[in-house]
Amino acid sequence: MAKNIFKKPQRRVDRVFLHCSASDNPSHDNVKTIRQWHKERGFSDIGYHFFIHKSGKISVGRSIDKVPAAQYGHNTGTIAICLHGLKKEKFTQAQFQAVQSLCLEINSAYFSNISFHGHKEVSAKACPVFDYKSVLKLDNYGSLGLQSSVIGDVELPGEFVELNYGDKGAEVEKLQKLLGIKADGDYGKKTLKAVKSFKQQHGLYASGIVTREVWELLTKPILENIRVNDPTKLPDLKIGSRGKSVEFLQELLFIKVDGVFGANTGKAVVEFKVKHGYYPSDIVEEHIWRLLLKNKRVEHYE
Amino acid sequence: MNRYLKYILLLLLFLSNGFGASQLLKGGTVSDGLDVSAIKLGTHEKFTRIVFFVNYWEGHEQANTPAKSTGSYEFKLSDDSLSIEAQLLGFRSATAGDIESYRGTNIKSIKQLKGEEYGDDSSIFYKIELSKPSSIKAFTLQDPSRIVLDIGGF
Repeated sequence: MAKNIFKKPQRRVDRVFLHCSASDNPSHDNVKTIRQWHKERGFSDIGYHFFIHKSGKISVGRSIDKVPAAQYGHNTGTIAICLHGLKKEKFTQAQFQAVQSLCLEINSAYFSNISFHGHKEVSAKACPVFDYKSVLKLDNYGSLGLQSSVIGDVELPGEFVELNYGDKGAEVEKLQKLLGIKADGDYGKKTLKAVKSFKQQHGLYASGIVTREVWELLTKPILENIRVNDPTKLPDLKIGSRGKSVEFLQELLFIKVDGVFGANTGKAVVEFKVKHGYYPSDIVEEHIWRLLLKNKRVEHYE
Repeated sequence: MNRYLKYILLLLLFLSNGFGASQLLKGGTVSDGLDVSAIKLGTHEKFTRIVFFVNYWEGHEQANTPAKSTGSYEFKLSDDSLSIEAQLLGFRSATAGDIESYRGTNIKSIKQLKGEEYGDDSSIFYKIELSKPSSIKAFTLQDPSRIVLDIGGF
């Protein structure tokens, strides 16, 4: 389906808009045609970032780093997705599944700090025609109500199972999925390293034992345990750290988000610290989180 | 003094013509998949009428036939009352040809606006330049569907 089709842009984004192509004609079910229409309107390229065919296939449109040309007066800070179709009853289930999958990816990349809207919310028109609020289970603020397919595949064991280095089986596989590492069901060195890193980042003693507390932290919604505005609740990070808190740091630094505190993240942290008059090390502690969050608020809301 | 006199006279003219002094007019019906198939001008004693004819666009199964819905409109008169920015919403294309003559009207030109700055997949934009300060009123008509813009004050 839409796995890994979305790459987070460098520009600031806080809204996603859904559109329809206003055509059920199969000969229009391609990016080339839409691009031609939009170029006739004087756009530099197709106006949308993604185009979803009737088959459910997702095609990439204009560069994700470019502002879309899709919803007049509301293009800045947005991503535009178009589904091929005009009549409500002619959109396909495959399209709905594709848009759900794509929106989940986007939502995950922004730690749920992004909202989803139909074009008609900002303009007196019917676009995108289909019931997007129902398809994406949106609330009144445009927050996505779908469950992540990755986390959704994993059920926390009803009975708590303590795991340790050397264990094997389905519970280990679930643990690995939650840690975002290769799920082979074998608690080896890589799993041990990931568990230790995760526990350290959450203020726990960095052993390899997966306790109930670790299971609970792993299954907590991201918004609760990572994306907070209280710097005292965020862990100290440095080169070698991994996980959701690193992803959050990378987002605040506007660099590629991969959850791994490597050389590039280190360089960005050093640059950030120098810019703000701090000693140029890679260590991110409470006062640096505080500064990063303060900057985020300024850029977001002022 | 002459400057104020001009505006007072203009106001009196608007009132006598039954035109409102609105800067922004919005109306019509919410729709999609429409085409501006023709633009026609009509000259009347106290105003010029611009009529936008509404068809279904090429992506619709009834392409190139009169639409049942008129779509929506937004007409914004500039502060000097010498130009109008028009946005027709729900329109995917404008196949209307150019206006051949503006003779006898108070319109200098009607130009479709294009480019990234008008980045919208379903709105068509026009700039209407006027030869004299004017006032506007707008409404829709059915069978066939049309959007009507009356420009008065001359």
